[in-house]
Amino acid sequence: MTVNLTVKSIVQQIRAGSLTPTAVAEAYLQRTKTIAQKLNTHLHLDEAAALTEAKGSAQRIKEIGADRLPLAGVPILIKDNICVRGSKTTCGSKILENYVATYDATVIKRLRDAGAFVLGKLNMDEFAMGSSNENSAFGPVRNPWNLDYVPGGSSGGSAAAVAARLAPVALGSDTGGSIRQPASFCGIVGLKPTYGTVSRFGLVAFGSSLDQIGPLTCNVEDAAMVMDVLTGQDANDSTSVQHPHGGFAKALANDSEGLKGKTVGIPEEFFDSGLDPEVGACLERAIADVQKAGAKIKRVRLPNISYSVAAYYVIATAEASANLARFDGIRYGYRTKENGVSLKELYRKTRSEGFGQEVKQRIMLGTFVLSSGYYDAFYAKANKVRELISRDFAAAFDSGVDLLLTPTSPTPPFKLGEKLSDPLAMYLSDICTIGVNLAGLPGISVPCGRTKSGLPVGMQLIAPKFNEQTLLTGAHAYERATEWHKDQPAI
Amino acid sequence: MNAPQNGTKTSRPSEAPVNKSQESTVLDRYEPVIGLEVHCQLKTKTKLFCGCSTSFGAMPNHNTCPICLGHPGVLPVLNREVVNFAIRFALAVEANIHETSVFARKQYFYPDLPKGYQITQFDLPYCTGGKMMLASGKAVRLMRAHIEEDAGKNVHGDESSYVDLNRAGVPLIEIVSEADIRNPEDAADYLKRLRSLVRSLDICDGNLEEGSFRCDANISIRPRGQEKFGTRCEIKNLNSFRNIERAIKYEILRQADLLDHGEKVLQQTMLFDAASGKTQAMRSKEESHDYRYFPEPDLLPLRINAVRVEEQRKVLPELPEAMASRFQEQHGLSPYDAAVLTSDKDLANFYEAVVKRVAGAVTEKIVANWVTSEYLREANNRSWDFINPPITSNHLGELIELIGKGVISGRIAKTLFEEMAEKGPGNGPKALVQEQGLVQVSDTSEIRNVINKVLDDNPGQLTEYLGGRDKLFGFFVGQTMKVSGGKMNPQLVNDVLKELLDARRKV
Amino acid sequence: MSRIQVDRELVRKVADLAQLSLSDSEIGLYQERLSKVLSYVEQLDSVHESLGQDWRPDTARGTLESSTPERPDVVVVSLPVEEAMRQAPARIGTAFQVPRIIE
Repeated sequence: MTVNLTVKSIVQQIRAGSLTPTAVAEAYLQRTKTIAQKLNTHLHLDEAAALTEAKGSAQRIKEIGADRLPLAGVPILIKDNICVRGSKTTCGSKILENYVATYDATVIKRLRDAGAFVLGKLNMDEFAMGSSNENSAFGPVRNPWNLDYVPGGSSGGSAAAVAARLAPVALGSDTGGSIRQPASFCGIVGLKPTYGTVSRFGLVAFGSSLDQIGPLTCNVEDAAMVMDVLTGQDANDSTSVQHPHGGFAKALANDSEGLKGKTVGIPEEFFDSGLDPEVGACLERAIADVQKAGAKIKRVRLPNISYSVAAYYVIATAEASANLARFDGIRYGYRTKENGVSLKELYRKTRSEGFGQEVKQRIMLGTFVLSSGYYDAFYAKANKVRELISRDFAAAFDSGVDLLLTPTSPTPPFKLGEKLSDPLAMYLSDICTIGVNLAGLPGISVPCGRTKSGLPVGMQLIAPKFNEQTLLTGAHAYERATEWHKDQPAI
Repeated sequence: MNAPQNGTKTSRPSEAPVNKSQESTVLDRYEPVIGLEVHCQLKTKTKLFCGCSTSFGAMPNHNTCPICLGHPGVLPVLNREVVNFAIRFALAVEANIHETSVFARKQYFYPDLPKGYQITQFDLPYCTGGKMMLASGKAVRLMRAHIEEDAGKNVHGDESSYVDLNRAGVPLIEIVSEADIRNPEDAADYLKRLRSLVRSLDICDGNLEEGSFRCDANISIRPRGQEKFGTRCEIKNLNSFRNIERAIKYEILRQADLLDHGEKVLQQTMLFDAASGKTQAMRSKEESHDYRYFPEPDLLPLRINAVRVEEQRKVLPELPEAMASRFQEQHGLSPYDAAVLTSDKDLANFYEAVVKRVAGAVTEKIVANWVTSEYLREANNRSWDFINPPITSNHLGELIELIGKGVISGRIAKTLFEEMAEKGPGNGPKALVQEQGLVQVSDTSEIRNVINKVLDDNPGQLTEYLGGRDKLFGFFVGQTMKVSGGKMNPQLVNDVLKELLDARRKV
Repeated sequence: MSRIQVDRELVRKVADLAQLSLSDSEIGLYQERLSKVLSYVEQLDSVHESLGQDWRPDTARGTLESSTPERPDVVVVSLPVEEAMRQAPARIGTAFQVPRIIE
């Protein structure tokens, strides 16, 4: 049953009285029990908790009325770096393996207030550091399209779960592409909002100036419905912005133009020789489809975009090295079991035993670039380069472009283990998505094809800041003109 | 106190207090250069970045939340009142308030620092410049002041230490002076005035013992006449004004002794041991910290515009300097008395309350004299505070009023005051005067009788006086006072005595 | 090769700052990886940015009109102390316990 449910259809059926939150939960839990283990999407699957949540949703529906609840009865899976009070929030790390959140993230409150409920918590790359979900302390996640392949990361659990129809929507987080790239690898929709649009309060910080929470769904309309609930300024997040938000679902419903008359920019730098030929072929067809849907194509340049990975890895790791300093085994979380240690040993053993290798590497890099004598050359410089990249995007949009179109990833999904030996190879797979985080822009990935071996390929659309509406209507129009979103993995 | 022996580099001035003459030769040859840093806890109701209470004395970790505990996923939100208090401070010292300032992360690992970094301000603090005037008339320039969060507290046991995070996140302003101070007395004066200022502004309790006003001193010395500054040491953990002076004095001598022996002063962080009176380098090997500062990404820049500054200027209370001027102009006090009274907000308020109670029976100058001498002496000896002292402003006012109305003499009042200070105010000065029969005699005829008898009883001195030994006037006054138990109105005694002596001359 | 000499000493120093303890083989591993990543990010050197003297990344955030948001100075009920202490790996009473700090 669940394979045919969407956010929209659930809400409709709840409102019609033909479904209850508990029935929805049970259906998904049933499917989860048979599939999740194969994929390793779920961490601490707690059926009882999920059913209690469903009851909470039912209670809200009873009190307020399903018509007044935009996400009435919708179950949502949550990436395990988002705090759900009373629930383990591990960030895919041993250092938080038994940590139970003491408060709810703002997005959780908003979702529940809208009638949705938390179905479970999902596996991820440790502390959101990774592009393949192979860096989890709890085992890798597998791509539902082919279990030998990675689902992408760091929101690998979120993407795999939605693709496998274990929930109609999952929340992920995106710092350098961690929603969009796994969405693309798993053939689903993933949206990263404009920085500041969705509250980060309760999102365990990785790169504070880059992180955003966003939805992963099976189609664009569902993403719009969830975005309506997630967005809006939060007094608990000083970087969240007061800006007209919401009304996305309505805008989609009322939109008759789609891509007609829109100008879609193709940045040259993303379509060079580094692009995998199969990805290139899918994107070519996508561009043609976009044109058929009425858009004008324009070539643009983002002259500094080649520096985006370098700038990102300086900024994100620097911020992360500070954000992860709180994990010391003193107030919560893992603590080394060795006895009779000195204070210094306590810190070092706890952190060395608790963090995985990729996390340690990034902490080291971040610590180094902020250390005495290197701040100007690295962190300060990277932020200036970041500004140049932002201005490149702004200039591209100012030249009469409504949306930018790029591949989401330069390669199709790769095999587990394939990129683990070379840190740079993994980092470079973020090249299409990273610039969007640096510039704080909204970006969405939609499925646009498959490789010869049947693996999904995604296309990314990028809009100017706070233009989620343009982004969603453009993506929706493309979706309506194609059939990729209708495919599901045969799991 | 042994002077260091020639050639032996191992001798040090090993005991305090130091020998005054040695101190003065050191100061002849070396000039101390002192800068002071004060961490002032702001008395807002809540912490800097979360809504936890700042109340002092709560049981460990009872005033904490996920934000100040440094749980994953939390974010800081700035307390409006902290900014207001900070602006008021800057206005009071005439600092330059920056329209844009930035918060930064200062990173280091310590159990009382839950996030592993402190949110502070680094290269763009909210204000720079400003000055504090000292009693000597010298101006000490301020370098900067910035806003930051406090750390928690560690308590040490034998095998373990215990961390209490109630204080973590409490708002502070850190006030840094330029190295303009040249002697320990000025250092203590600067700190006393700064404390008085923040208390007048009502932004900080200024309680050194409770830790709401924490002083660190940076001290170096240089040979007199040399322009180049010497190496400086920082002394932390100075928890009383007396210890501040002692510590600085010791440190100056310690550094002088090193230089006298041709050795270098090492840049170190020192602690002051009050028991021995010495400064000692902190035991942990002082690796210079790499704090890896970078701008706080979870906060936007702090922008303070002219409108906000004006709003705060309007609510500034009367500051010590303005009050001192007013006391001089309107009450006719001397600059010295005005300075003494305004050195402490509560003392100034006490004085004004006494003036009010006296309601013109004597001049403000006389009230000021009483407060700055008699009252302050007892208060200091008996550690009274001026908010709830055992002898209240009402009591003192009543006492002084009695003098003004001629009910008792000044001398009797002083004795009575000392008694009240020792034994307690009882039913108040008026009642005590009645109970003890201290009402002074102002009946002229009675005074006349007593004086006449005194003159009759001392014929020798009378002859000498009339023969020209004017000094004996005082003798007769003394005898009169003795006979009357001091209870005669002294002015009247003087007048009548003069009259009667003159009368006898004519005889 | 990175123009910054990433030797074992540097790796140890950085690990110390980050409170990580590395085995000898880990030091070698991180030395290699850091060196590789650093030489990659060093390309930022070659970017010529014409942002001007006055442009600073830290002050350019937000807008000139808007300051970092502020909250009123009103007490919000704290976490019950049992909640604050519940996950403490070591505690005594309501204090977090750590090995003796040497000052």
